Amino acid sequence: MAPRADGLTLALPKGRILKQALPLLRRVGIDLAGVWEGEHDRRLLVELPGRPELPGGARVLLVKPVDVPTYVEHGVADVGIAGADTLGEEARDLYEPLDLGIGACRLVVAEPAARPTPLRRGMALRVATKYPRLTLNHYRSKGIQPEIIPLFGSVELGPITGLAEQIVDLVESGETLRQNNLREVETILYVTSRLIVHPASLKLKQAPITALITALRDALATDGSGSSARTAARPIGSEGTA
Amino acid sequence: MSARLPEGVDAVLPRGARDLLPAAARRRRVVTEALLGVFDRSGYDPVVTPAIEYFAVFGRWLAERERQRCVRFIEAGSGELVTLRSDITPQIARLAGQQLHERLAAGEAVRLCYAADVVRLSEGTHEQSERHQVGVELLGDDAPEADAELILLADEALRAAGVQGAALEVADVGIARGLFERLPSCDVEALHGLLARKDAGGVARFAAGLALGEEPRRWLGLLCELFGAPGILGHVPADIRARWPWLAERLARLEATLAVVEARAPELHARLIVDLGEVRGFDYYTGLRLRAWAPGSARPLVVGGRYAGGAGFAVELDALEASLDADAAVVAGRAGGVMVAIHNREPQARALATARAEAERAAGRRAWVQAGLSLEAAQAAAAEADVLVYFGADERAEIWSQGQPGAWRRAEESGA
Repeated sequence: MAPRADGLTLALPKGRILKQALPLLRRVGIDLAGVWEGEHDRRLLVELPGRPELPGGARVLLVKPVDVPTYVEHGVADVGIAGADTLGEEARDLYEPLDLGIGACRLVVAEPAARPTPLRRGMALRVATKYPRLTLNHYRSKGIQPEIIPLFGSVELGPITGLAEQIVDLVESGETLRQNNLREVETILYVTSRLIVHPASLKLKQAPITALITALRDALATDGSGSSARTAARPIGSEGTA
Repeated sequence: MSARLPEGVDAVLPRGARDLLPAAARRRRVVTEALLGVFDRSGYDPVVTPAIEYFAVFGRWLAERERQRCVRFIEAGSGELVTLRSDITPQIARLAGQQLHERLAAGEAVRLCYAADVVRLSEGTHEQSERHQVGVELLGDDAPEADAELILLADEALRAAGVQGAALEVADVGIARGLFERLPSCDVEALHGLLARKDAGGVARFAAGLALGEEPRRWLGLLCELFGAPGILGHVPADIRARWPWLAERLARLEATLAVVEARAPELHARLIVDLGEVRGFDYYTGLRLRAWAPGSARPLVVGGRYAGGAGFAVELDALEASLDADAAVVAGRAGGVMVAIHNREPQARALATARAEAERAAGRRAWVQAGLSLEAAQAAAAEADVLVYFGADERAEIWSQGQPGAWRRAEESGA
């Protein structure tokens, strides 16, 4: 499967990130208002008709955030919006030309405030997380080979129930951690959402995609949104392969 | 042996492996022969390399992440670590060092081609573990004309296999690598990652933290954006060329390569995409890096590049066939031939049918026998045939011919 030859196909993450992305997309001519009714609209695919700033129109796929890179990597979508957390978890052959500065959060290590676990090289440690690869890389760099306990939600419950000594999870304000009597130990990754592009699309649909990148960059430059998150650093080994 | 799977066996094949059924396998052979035909006409001699290599020899060519994807085992008797080949180019390089060094030392260029399968363990989102490649290596000629020869050959091969108008992406990994060598001490791996992702903002922030002059800083930023039609080479600022003779030399080489392509195939030149900031690809690449893209395939149809001692490319057959599948203009044909079917399975009737099939083959036609089928079942079984010769219960031959698939027309009737 590959992208349509004409027009652009975008994969957008439903939920929190989309709310922040929609105003930005509207400013560059990708306006879902009147076409898509919002989160209660159950349609997963909407077509945007062509217009001067978007010749050829666009097809928008509304998917789970963690699935966006998959749609783009398999070429079903030309471009997408994905968090640095999802991108760092799997090596992928994608371009990430623009940090959109939205969806800012951090991937952190946390543990019960009342029961800290001092780390030593070679120790046994159980860590609950949605991010097994990033977690493994982090602890290995400290000489620890943790037992990774993969969870898909409510990771904070891990240390409370004794399932794990520490967790690795995303925090925005830190409120969920505090309410569950957890404290942050360390930040592994500053996360923001990025524009991602399929390698063939960037080259074969260079004009519309370059126009989109430039328009988004200009829109970000004028409102300065997300500038606080632009220091995002990516862990080594997260780039795509040949 | 039962044709069915044993009870309790669910996983039929290892991850990333698959079968090709006759129609797909037949097309694979046609495609492979078309590609090898093009390579042969340009003087590329066939080689066959082994499926297994000593890892200590083979693995030297690979980056760590590629080494980890090798399927390895211990050789009985010696205890040596053996690997399935994960790539053909290191094998050709080994072969060149072992068997061709005298020819190469005498200044001869050696042209080799191959059709081979390679195995890389599935990793992350890279599900496909077995890749089918048909490729070439051009050893002992490092002129820009040799790079151009490979670009032209890749396009000719794709066209012969049925892919028209592919986009050929030409990069020179030496540009970014040359720059890395000349930067003040910094985290080159992080910069490599930023350039690989074409993260212009990230590169700018990285450069801001380095003790760099104005031009190098600007050049680093430009690297993420200098891709497109060959004309983008004109966008490299003159002062940057003047400041860095090594870069001017690399760009001049790339321009020379592109000029050869333009002179020999202006139509292909219009389909070239040049990328000055490309850093991805095998670690052993030192200069040219070539990829080809076509609608229908999310993965490149051609992957190749220049390394110490030679240059080459491989056509990835799965990607090429995905592109053919998506092209409505490419219609898969029937295998054709004559199917001889008989109503019963009696030895005498079979002998009759076999004799008829032999006569058809002697006349140069593809022919085979099916026994024990009704006329209806015989027509269904003859989907790949143009002609069905059917011996009914009276052992008289009915001749049927197939027009559109499934549309059978009675042609004639004759005595047995």
